[in-house]
Amino acid sequence: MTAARVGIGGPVGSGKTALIERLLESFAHEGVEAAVITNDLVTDEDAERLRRGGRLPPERILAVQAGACPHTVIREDPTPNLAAADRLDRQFPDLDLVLLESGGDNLASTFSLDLVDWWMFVIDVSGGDDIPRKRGPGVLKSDLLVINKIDLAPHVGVDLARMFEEATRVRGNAPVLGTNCRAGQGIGAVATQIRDAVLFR
Amino acid sequence: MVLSAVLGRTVEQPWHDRAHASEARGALETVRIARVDAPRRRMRLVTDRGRDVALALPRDAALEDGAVLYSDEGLMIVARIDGGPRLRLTPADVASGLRLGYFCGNLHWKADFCGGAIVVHMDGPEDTYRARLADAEVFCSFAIERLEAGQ
Ligand SMILES: Nc1nc2c(ncn2[C@@H]2O[C@H](COP(=O)(O)OP(=O)(O)OP(=O)(O)O)[C@@H](O)[C@H]2O)c(=O)[nH]1
Ligand SMILES: [Mg+2]
Repeated sequence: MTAARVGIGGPVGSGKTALIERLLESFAHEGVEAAVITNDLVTDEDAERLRRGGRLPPERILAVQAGACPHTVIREDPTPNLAAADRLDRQFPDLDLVLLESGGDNLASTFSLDLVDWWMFVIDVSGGDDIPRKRGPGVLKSDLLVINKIDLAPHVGVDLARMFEEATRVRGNAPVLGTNCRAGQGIGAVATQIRDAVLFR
Repeated sequence: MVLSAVLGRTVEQPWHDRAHASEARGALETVRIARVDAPRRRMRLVTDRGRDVALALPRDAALEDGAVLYSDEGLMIVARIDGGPRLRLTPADVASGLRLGYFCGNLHWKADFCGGAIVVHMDGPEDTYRARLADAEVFCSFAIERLEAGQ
């Protein structure tokens, strides 16, 4: 089977790279062969951080520079990311999964399904518990909504229960999961969603 | 059950006849796929007879209406993909057409251009699209017509 392609989008600093680091640990345990494509504005910052992390061989981490609004290369014209993903497929025929991290963007960013088979949107509690209520397309249309940094809720005056309840409601009961990527909390459930939706194991 | 190839299309032979024969034997099952989901190469689906299947297609496979995803003596599985809900926007004049095209582009809407009209493919509630179009009516004039699946 050709490797599945999974997108990870969300606002600047919500914890997309942190979640990928955690997921890579989890997939390594399960023998899932993964690779990553990061998207930054004009640097390879996130790719370099993942390479330093050492959870994957460095050549399995590619960087695409968006040059402009990050959503342009995951939706309007995903050609640079498609080229990177095709290159990974050719170079590593045994890959099960390619994770694509969008550059940090706004609540309207969404992935083209021409690029990924399935995608998640990562927001964090420090953005405020009103974020789901604002019904951004990323929050509404993603296959999975991840609310990260749940450990910070008491520090930023966020009512977590209400935030989850509202997120689930605006999404018409599509899945919403909470994580603390700092401590590795809730990662298993996210990995399970990916396995079930696109890896079929 | 993992379906990993598009074997052909029922509009082509020999698949057209095979689909009829399977149907006559009661061995034809269909999976409905929304137009907006058709570009996905991996998904879980349930056939009209309640069979769970997983789709894992090669990147270059063309998943179109009538795609044959499985076929043997006892079972044939065919994809049903409808045209999806669309809005046809017909500008009253060239100036309106230019402004309307620019407006739709800024909203990142998925669109086709057919003759003098813009056909917007909706992947959310029609009301949301109508609300944005009401904004545009302030600076350009155009007609809106809803197109149904298959139209
Ligand atoms: N407290 C806490 N901090 C977190 C958590 N997850 C990530 N962080 C921190 O949040 C900051 C941003 O995390 P990143 O993983 O770089 O976020 P990102 O979404 O990849 O950022 P961009 O790619 O720049 O948009 C870092 O300082 C992380 O250590 C979490 O669950 N809890
Ligand atoms: Mg990042």
